[in-house]
Amino acid sequence: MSLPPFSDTSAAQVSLLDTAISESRSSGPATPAASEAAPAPAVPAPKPNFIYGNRDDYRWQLAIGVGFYRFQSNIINASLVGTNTTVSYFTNSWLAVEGNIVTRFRSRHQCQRACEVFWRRRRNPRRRPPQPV
Amino acid sequence: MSPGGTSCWVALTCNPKRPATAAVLSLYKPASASTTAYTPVFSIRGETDWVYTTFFNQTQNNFQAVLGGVFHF
Repeated sequence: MSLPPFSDTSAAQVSLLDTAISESRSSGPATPAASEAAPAPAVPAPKPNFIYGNRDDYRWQLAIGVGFYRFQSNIINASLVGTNTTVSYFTNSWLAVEGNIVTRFRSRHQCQRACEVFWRRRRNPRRRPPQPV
Repeated sequence: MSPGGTSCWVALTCNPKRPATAAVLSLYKPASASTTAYTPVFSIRGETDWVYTTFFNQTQNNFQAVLGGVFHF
């Protein structure tokens, strides 16, 4: 099921300049003769009811997902799992402002090799206290 | 990105332009993503990224896959 294009939504049909007011102020043609039958007043279209919100253009997007990350190098290998959360607001049909929050976690037992490498580099063996005999 | 239907993209980035530079640092980054709308409110999005870099004699492999849902409101 596909959505209608953004140009068909109510947001694209909004006009900042009210043509009825501008026409009434302009010096247009004379008013029609009184003998012509006046058209019946148009009945305003009923306002659509939305489940939530009051617009039909879906400007906001909330994306929630799970991610897997694999890192391999000459020193360590690691696998991480986390979440990806994205919030987007579409200003028009081709531009949006987006924010991302990405998390990655690794289990403790997978940290063994990597922690050995990093802790060994941080410690200075010359400053270690003498080991008891 | 269109809110309806299916949209996808694939990109490939290769850094080494000169052989002398490629011997020191090189980067390869293919990526792809796809979004499929099942209802006007809900879509499913998938994404994969792979980055391979070399720096002198060190290499790094970075692979990432993401699968999730998208809510339109």
